[in-house]
Amino acid sequence: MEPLHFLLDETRGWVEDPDSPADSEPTEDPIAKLAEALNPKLRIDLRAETEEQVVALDSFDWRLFQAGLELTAGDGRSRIQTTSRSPRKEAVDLTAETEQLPTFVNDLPSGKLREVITPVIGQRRLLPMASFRRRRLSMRFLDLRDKTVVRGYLESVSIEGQKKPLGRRLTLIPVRGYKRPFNDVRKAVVSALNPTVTEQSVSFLACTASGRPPGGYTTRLDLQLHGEMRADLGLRLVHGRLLDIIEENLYGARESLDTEFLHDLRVALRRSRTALSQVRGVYPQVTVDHFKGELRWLFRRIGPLRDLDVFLEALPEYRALVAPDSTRDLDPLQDFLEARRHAEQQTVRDLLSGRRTRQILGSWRHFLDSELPTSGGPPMARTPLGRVARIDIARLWKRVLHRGTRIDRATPDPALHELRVEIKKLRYLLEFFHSVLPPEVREFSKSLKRLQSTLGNFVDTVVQQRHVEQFATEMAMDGSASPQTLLAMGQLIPQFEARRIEERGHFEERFADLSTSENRDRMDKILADIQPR
Amino acid sequence: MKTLATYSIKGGVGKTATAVNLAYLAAAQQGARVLLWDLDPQAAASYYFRVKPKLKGGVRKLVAGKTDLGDQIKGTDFEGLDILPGDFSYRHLDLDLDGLGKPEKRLRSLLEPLAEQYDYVLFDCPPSISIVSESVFRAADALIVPVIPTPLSIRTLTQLRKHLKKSKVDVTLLPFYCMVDRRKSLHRELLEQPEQSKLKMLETSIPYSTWVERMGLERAPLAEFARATEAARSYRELWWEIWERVATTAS
Repeated sequence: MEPLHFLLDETRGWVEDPDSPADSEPTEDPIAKLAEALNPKLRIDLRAETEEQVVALDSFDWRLFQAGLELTAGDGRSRIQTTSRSPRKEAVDLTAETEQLPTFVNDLPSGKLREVITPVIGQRRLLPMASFRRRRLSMRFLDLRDKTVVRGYLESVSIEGQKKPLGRRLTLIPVRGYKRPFNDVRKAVVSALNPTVTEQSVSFLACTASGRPPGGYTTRLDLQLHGEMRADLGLRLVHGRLLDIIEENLYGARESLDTEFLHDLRVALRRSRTALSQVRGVYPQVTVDHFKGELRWLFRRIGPLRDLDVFLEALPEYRALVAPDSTRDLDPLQDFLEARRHAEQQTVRDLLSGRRTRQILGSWRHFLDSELPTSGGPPMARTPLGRVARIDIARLWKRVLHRGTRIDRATPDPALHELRVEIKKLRYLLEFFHSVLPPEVREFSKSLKRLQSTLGNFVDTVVQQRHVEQFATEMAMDGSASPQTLLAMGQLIPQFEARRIEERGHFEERFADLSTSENRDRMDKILADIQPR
Repeated sequence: MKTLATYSIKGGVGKTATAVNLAYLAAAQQGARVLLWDLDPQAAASYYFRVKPKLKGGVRKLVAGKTDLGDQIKGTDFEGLDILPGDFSYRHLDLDLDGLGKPEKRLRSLLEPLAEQYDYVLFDCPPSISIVSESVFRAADALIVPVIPTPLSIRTLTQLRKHLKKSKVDVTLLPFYCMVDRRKSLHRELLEQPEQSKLKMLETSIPYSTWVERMGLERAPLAEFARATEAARSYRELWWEIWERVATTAS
């Protein structure tokens, strides 16, 4: 038997309703009603009431929630529990002393709680998702011999910053070996209190009421488009969702809450630019040219900070590449990168809170929400979306094949970089429009992803090698690197070179995987029914 | 999962009071998941926890594996503390075990499915030395042995130590003085004897207290109704001392 949770006062609602009066506590006493319904078989023994301030913590992308875990902190301790969506066989309920709110897993004392969280959270920051005050009245249901046969508690929650308390939640906990009384109490609750059964925890409900529904963050587009809808409407839906993602990440990137905010913001900008430039003839050309320029400007301005984040995250791995007695010689490089990151973060903070960013995103939203033209307009605007998507995917596919087959072992590196960019565009288009394309997209995309991953590793290695050379020059010039540090950085170059050669060696095989007859057949099916333009 | 047992060859030394208080403290103080197995046909531990002394189908079916052990477990009034109730049919447990193959290993194998559900299993044993106690010795990581500071009670501890050595049973022995009454000259004399160190007693002792006797009236562990008494404090210290000792031994 599992615990049962009931929401009382359903009409009051767990989500802040601005129209309902900011009244006081609910007046009805559910315990008295329940005691009456249970009399004389069982009686209720009320225990002490506790009150605590609780903060629900999770990563920006709800990794704990997705893993069926819930982390709360309050009154000097942190607690991790499994939730109803946990895939684990055994329930987890662990606490640890934490005087301050933990920000990263390393802020938690070593022990079981940290062991459970670390593989899920990794280096992501623990963010406060909701802050609430919880009053809990514990109770025992006693039989005629005064034996506890069911346990329970009644909770009421007030969200910080919200005047009105949320509805109350009653939990019944079975006592092993006393199934029948548990069912008696359950029936009495249902008949006397007319509640709603819920599987959600108080933290879940508090996060939802605070405007942050758990699991609500995703960078997936999850759009269900129709092949027959007009192309400009479909494209605006794609751009609108991408703009949502940009806006969701603005605050976290500006305040540097977690490096992933900036990353997701940047990816959403890149995807938006691809949708602008690669879906052709759908928006007016003047609009395309204008926003291509504006989004590119924003994208490029946040690039240096992202590069520093990537390098800093990889630094522990790079330390392992140098000789053991040189590891500490890389400390000045870390100091140099962190100082630079700090300065760059200030620039990005100003940029993202600045007038130009607001104008760009505001005018972009204004365009996306504006009336669709009823006549005239660009040539493909009112063409069915499915057809437009296929035409553009076909063009990119042709380009990928053309560029890919021309690459051999003697081809210079930039050609691989260019191919990687084309593949990324093709993948984005397949993602944007997968709901209007046949199921073959799934298998085809897997081969594409494998090739993209090889090319990504290859290009990243080239870029990191270039960065090390550039940092070494700058550090030598400003005197922040000793000869030992420069020598340690120099040890990285042959390691990068070896990795670059290894990744390049995989290219041929991965490209052959993509261009097999099976994949060409799949693409033929994806592109079926396009008439020549 | 650690398996402990309160055991003594002698009756009336405070085994059940110790089992009830220690099981409660492990669950309430440490947040451990605890199962108390009341092996005594008198079922006093079950009485203290207000649980009916009744096993569906009797003990014979239980030890033969014909009834599910998990289905017989009852929750107590306290979170994290469950009990496998006593039953009058435990008076035949020796015979029931004797009728099975490898009787001395029976209790250990019955506990195996519970290993993930509990942090501690604590047997409350009936007095005597029998097939039941042999089975407990082999199932337990440690035997918690209450000893009254009297010659006869100390003698049974020596007997037990010799028996375990002879039978080559690998179990940690944790004897402690219980029902100590310093007003009695006999108790004082025995506690101050130079041979004390040979007995390897735990440092904590439990004083004689009418509060312990009141447990039967209150039907609850000491900490629930007489938290501030010396007896309750002594049991808390005893649990920490035992916990430190068993935490370092393998399960």
